Amino acid sequence: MDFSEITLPDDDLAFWRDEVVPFYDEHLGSDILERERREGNGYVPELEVELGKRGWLEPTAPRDRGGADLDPVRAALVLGEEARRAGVLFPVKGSHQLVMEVVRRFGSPELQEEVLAGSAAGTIKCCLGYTEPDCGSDAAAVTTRAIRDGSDWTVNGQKMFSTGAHLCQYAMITARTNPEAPKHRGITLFLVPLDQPGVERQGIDTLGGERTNFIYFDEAVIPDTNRLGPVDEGWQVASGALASEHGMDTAHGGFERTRTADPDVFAAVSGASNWTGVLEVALDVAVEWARVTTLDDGTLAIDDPIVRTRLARIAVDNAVIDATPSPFGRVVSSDLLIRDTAELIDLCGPAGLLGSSDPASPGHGMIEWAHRFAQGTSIYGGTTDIQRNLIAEHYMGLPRHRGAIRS
Amino acid sequence: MSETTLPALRRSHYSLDDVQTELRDTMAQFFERECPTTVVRDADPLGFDPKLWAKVREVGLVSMSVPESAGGDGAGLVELVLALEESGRRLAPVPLVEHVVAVRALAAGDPVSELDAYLGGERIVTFAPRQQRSGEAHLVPNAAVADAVVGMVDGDLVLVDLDTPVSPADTIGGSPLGWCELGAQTSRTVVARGSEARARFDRALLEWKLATAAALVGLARGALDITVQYANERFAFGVPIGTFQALSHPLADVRIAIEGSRRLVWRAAWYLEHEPEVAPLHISIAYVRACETATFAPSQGIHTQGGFGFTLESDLHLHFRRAKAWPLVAGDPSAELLTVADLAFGPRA
Repeated sequence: MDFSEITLPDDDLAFWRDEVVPFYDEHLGSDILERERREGNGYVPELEVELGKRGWLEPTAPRDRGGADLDPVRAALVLGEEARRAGVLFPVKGSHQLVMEVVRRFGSPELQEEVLAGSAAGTIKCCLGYTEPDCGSDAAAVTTRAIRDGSDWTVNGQKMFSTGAHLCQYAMITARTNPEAPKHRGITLFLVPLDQPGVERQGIDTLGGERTNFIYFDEAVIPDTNRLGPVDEGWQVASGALASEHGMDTAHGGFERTRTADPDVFAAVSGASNWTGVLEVALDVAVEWARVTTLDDGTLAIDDPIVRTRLARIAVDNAVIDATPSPFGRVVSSDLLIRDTAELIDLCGPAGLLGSSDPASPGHGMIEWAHRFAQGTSIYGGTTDIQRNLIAEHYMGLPRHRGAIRS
Repeated sequence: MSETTLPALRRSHYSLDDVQTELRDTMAQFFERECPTTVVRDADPLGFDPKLWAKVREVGLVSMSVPESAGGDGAGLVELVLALEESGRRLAPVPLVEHVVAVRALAAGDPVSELDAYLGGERIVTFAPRQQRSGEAHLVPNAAVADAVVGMVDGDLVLVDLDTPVSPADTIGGSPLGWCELGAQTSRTVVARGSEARARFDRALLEWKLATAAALVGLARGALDITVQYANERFAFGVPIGTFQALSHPLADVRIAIEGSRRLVWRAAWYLEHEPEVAPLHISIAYVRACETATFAPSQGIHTQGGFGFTLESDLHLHFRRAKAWPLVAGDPSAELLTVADLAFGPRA
């Protein structure tokens, strides 16, 4: 057990101060963050290109693979600085890491040749295409079809909630390749180029401000070299990938992290996982609001015992989120974020309703946005209900629930 | 936007070392063997089993957390909370939490008479977590079984001999609480005065909250163990009731609450041991959450057991009573949120 402070060596601090901070000041200023919060694209393509030029998208990889050959702590300083500034705004970067992990492990040489260099350069991004209009939590119920035709596959069907698809070059999709097999054994995984005939993308606006997408496939043709893993074994390949999405902490650097010498330092520098960051920022904003706001009875809000108790309750909840490990943390972080952002917007009263363009809004609309954003966190990456099934059956020894029998 | 210093970075390492793991396992086995539910039930309504207390002393649980300089074994606070989680899990009817806190408070200053008897547990000393003024009586934990009390009266830290036995109060049950007016007792030793008294009492109160939180996390675990077993064995509509998500999901929430609470307690113990100046916030947070979790687990367990859970045949009422009896002697647990606010946001103007 160890919670001691970490002191970084001076040269690492200099790297952070002289290279990392100026980089993000230039390429991820408040104007870009405001734009991203407004448009909800899920990542900033120009930033990726600039990161790619420095090798910072694969920071620990050797330079001849498009990396920067940084040691793990410096790599974490880069990624952690971005996480600190962007918070939860770049989910596509996490999905992309997930896809690249699968491409590295299962992709054909041709496919790796096609995408890995571009991924490191920041010119290629990949989104996920698992979910369909009639298949969400039951991810194996895919109806999108892929039919083999010589060395190609023809794809028909539709995907939804593919965040970033409107800007990405590829989507990693699940498609049914054997309708006769049991549902988990007839699925194959493909990396589909999105800018091609037979593929159309259509935007979906969400409550949290994030733009996500439908992807329609109408006789779209993809080469067999874009298949990921064996035919009909896509579920097995994808469940490994899904497992890392459940942790929701892939945004901070993907699989190279295991190379670190001191995982504690790496973890501390990389920043928070789950949604700790959102609730911490929202609480800070509300506390600052309470320090300058006078209640109707003339007292400063921060001096009112009821206000203090309610804010303190959220400070406790932040600590709970921080201390609760996966997979338990995935549920509690979302539950408490939903409960507490509702509490914070109430606490701020009318000011809580204000969006970022109103100068009277606490924290540039943070409270209002966080309350909306929170609602999605119990859904994506596998709902908290599915997680509770997992915890009950695999961690607590409770019997398997009956709903699973029908299928 | 640019800053010149990084935000403070900390390790976040909850894993136990080999010695801690062994200690926890040993304690888990000890209380499982020595404190089955029959022992807990037989000790009621008083909530004290002298035979178990003798075994607890024998195994070294009393002296383990007293500094070596004062004749103890000098184990750390992390080790103490691991042990108390296991005693709490079996609802051990012994005055361990308050005794250890009181002995540590006594051992922190000039020697008092009979310290060795307290250290060995031959004499039971308890701790009054609420400060008293002359003329006030409070419900004091273990007062009905203790030989002496450490507490704060009119700004003095005192050690009071309970010459006249204190009778157990009529309470929700499970804990030998008694009405105690420390100022009215004749055999009273002032252990410390003024700022020293304040500092030693504050420290003891922090340790009491930490230790109580650890025992409460254990209590919640014990309640969940019973509930999960029942949900696997009880059939309704032809299937084990644990297959129903209406029951299994709230139980998953209990487990989630326990996972967070116990790590908050571990972390608070680490801070009190290594960085006491920043520990109070961690302890208040851990205490608030542990109190909630200990309320949640038996209540959800009783609900899961249905009608049986509401009878005294079920063991869960034992957990249910203690979830309140253990912490409420210090006052409303939610009032601790005001302390959290003072520590996290600064004091009121």
